[in-house]
Amino acid sequence: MEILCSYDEMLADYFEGRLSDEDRIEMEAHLSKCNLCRETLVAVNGVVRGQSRFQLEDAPKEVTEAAVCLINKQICVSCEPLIQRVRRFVIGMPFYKMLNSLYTKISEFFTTPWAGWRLAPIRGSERTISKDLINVRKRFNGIETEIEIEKTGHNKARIRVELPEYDTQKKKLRVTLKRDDREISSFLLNVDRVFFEDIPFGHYSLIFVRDDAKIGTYLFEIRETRHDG
Amino acid sequence: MKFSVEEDRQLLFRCFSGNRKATEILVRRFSDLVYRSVQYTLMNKQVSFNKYDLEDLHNTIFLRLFEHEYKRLRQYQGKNGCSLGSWIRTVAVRTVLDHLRKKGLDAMVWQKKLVPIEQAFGITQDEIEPLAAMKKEEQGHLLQDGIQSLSPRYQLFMQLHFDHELPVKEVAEAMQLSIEHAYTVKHRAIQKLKVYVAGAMNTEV
Repeated sequence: MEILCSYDEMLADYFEGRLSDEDRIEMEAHLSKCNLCRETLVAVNGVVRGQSRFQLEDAPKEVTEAAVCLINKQICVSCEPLIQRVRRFVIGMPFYKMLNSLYTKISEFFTTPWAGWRLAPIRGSERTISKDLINVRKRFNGIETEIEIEKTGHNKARIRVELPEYDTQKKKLRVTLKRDDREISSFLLNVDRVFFEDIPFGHYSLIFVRDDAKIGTYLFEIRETRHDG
Repeated sequence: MKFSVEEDRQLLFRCFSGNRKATEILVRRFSDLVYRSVQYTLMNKQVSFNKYDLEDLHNTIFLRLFEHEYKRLRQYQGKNGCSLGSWIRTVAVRTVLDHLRKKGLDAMVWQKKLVPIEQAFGITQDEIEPLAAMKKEEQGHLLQDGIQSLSPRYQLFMQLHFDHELPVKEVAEAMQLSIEHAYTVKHRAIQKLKVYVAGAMNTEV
């Protein structure tokens, strides 16, 4: 998401009455011209003064902790050793991307859909409540994706698609879930992860499209499995 | 619990130094503020959402603050006494609005720019003939041009009151005016508009 204006602090100062006369005039001149800043002012006014209009909730603990983990993961990337930074730099170079793309195409041609699966441990110690969970990473045209399929109940599953590495290209990446030729749902991957909820068991494909061109397909089947006690 | 600007700066400095504990403190400290700002903005825009949307936007806002070695966070200065919380709230709201705009869900897109009937100079007919319709449209354009000719303060007032349909009281709050001053601004702006439109119509052949 691009944020076009950089008047955030000045806008907050204007709203809270801290600007000098000269700065206030400048800010009002900007606000009369900038739709985004004006809308932001209206919304901030509402957030501060209008909270009683709606029943707002505090962030659930797990949401906060998930954000903490995400941020720590992001910071870890910038703290990594030099050799890994060099590796990431090389991976980011166009020539490497082209070679990698060619390699991916060749290996996908020869690779069966379920190759590369690694089974996650079955969660839960009791037979009756254990949930099956599969987590797999696939790379399509240099874009790393993480696909997690979790059974959430009888004939029901949840599919999570995530982009583990921040990538500006992800703004244009779309993922579509299909059963045979029927489209179930489609999302634009402009945030870190998307969910397909309450998916019945069956054969599916996840199709990744960027700039109206298909860059990869992931085929899988969700079915009942026996759990030995 | 409120923190001073200096305390905010100290916390940021520790974050920028790579202190992971400071980063965690910052996220936990402002998580509720960001979450509530996202909720309110979406509700106010009458956009349907679920808890996953809230979580995604909440996390996206924090990621935007910290990415590229804290590029966004480093923009905070606090030079006029702006607290880190106030700044983060503004960033959070702006991010949500930008997200809605990109998804084409911005309710403003479908809002018509309404000119109240009392400003339409006496058009009260139930059936509007073609010539009268043209005249009405022309007056609408004149009004828009007239608003552009006002000083920034009056322009902003008119935009917030008429385009964003905020009541005078909320415009006064947003612009840090007393309610009496706000009504004075409104009255003067309308007077100026009337003079502008009348003058423009008199110069037409």
